[in-house]
Amino acid sequence: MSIIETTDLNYFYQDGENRRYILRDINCTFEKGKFYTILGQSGSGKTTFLSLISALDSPKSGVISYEGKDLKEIGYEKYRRNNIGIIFQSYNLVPYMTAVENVLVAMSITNNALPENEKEVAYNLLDYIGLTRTKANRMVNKLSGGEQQRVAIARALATNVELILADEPTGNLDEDMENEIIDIFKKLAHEHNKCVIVVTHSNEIAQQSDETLYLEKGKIRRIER
Amino acid sequence: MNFMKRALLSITRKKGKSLILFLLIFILGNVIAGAISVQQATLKSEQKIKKSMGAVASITIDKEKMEEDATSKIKSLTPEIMRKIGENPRVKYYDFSEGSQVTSRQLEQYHATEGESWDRPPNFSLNGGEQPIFLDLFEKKVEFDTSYGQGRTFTEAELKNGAHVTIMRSELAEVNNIRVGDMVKLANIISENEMRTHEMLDDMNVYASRDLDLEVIGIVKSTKATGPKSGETKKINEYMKNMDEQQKINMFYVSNAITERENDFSREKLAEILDEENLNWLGYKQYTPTYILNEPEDVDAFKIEVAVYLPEFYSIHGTTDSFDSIAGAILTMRALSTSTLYIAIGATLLIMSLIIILFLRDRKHELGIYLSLGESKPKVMSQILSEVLLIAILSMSCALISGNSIAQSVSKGMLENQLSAETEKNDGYRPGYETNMSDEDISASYEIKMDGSYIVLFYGIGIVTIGLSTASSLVYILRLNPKKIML
Repeated sequence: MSIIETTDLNYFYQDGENRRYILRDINCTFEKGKFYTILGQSGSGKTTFLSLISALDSPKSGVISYEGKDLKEIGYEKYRRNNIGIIFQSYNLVPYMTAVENVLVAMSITNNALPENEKEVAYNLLDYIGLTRTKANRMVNKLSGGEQQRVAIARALATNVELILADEPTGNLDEDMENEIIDIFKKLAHEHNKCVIVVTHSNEIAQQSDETLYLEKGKIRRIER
Repeated sequence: MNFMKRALLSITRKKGKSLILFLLIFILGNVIAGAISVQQATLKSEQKIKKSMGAVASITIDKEKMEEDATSKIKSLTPEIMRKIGENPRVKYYDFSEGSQVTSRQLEQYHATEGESWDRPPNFSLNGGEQPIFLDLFEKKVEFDTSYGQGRTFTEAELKNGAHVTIMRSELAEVNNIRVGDMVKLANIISENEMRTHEMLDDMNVYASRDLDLEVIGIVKSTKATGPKSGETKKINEYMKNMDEQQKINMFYVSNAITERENDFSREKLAEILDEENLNWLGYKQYTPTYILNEPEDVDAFKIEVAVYLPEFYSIHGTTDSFDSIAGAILTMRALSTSTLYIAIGATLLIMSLIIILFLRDRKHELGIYLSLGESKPKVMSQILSEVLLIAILSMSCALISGNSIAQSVSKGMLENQLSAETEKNDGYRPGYETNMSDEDISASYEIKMDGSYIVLFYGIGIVTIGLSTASSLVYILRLNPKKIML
């Protein structure tokens, strides 16, 4: 069953009377338990697509539905709060907080039901992602890039959501760290039945995903394996 | 990790910025606290001065209007009108008197300044009244001096019938060796010429004369201790006060019936010798009503309420009318503190808004993270507001104490300089000397305190100002687009 679906999705910039299309009539579905990658060259509209399905922006036309419900009906803010976890290329962690505090921030914002011992859950989550308790108590700006990205992944998972979206999550990491992060994504999809959508320009990552979609000139197509 | 916890973390972890904000609010807070302290002190000083001036109103002829119009148009202020005004609920006690001037062939006048030669005939005034307890006694300006015998007040019958009884001041009694129960012999003399010497009392210049014998039923003394004060300015004011006091001492408290009788005699005789122009003045009786009001604050309202009863050319004056001239220094200080307060509030609004906007721009990324996680904008705004207010309350609490102390040390000196400057400007005369308020009295009435009203006002103004400047800066958050920040 699809968790998120786009129907006739369009996004363009109005330049006088002309429209410069970034995304044109995009129709695609994403399912739980799968690890998706969206490939494309720079300027192909990958990030715009991610911003639309993560409700950071709204489409010019077309519908995005989460579990069959239009995002507009759910409410963009509410959708971001309760239904998705986003991982950014530059981690986007609150710099004056520790790793565990960054995870706790997301847990305090969501309306999803969470266990009472939130702090312990946050530590366990970070441990699961590969961050020890000592490191979990460190300020995030004292952690390495890979460790910071693990904190960002833990934060995305902390709210107990089904859909994980990532924008070039390994863009700032070395190859070893990249593989470790990809392993985590695969584990999340296959062992925890999450839908993981990763926007990337890396063919190596794409090859490890269950399905790859290619964005070119505003159009999307599935790459058959 | 709700927004309050995030706010606390932000304050404690970003110590540098918190300190900048703390210091900025502390400095501005000191200015605001100082201005409020001075303003509150001047308000309380006004209350104290007005209280010591008393809540008394009197009705007199408006001389400015008189010059424009003919004196023949003046009507008497009738007892009915004065009684009607006396029914006003703001009036605690009232009396009205018709004054009269008399002399004496036997009594010596009291002189405030010793050693001077006084050859003129003695001049005494009769102060009529309608009430058994005359006003000076009611206001506790005087009290019975039992060393001259057991005195008493007038009876209703004595007042009504114009019985030949009087109450006099102890100083005059002392000069003339009079005790309660003695008779005093006064004279109502009508003369065509000014009498410059004692001898002229028996001269043929006297047009008409009649004796007024009064039994002394009481001797009173002033309740206020009078003594010379040091300094040139004080001497000048003291001289003016002494002259005023001398007039009061050379006065006999009697019933209105007596003064009316004496004035009728004077009018009748003067009518025979005065020219037509001056005759107009004799046509009406000059009553001076005095109303003691409940509170000094009642004076202005009372003046408005009773204005409708006043005949043409009369106006009502309150003791607090001269407040502006007496307490010019206090009013200057208040104006200065009010301007300072407004400027400080304006500066706080401007500076704080700019600083908060700069801080928010610096934290744009952090705010974008909260928004991308689905935090509502009002909650993000509440976090920022909480941060600013928490720091503000802390620094304002420090400024509350320091601002008050600074105001205390600076403003007292300013007030004293202002008072001296005013006196100098008036050629050594203290404005409003007649009210018995000295520079010391005014300076003593000015006291900077840290009381409830100051604390409430300071926190109220401070929090509202900081809140407004923060709120105006928070519009920035409304315009934040998480996509542009995060991706």
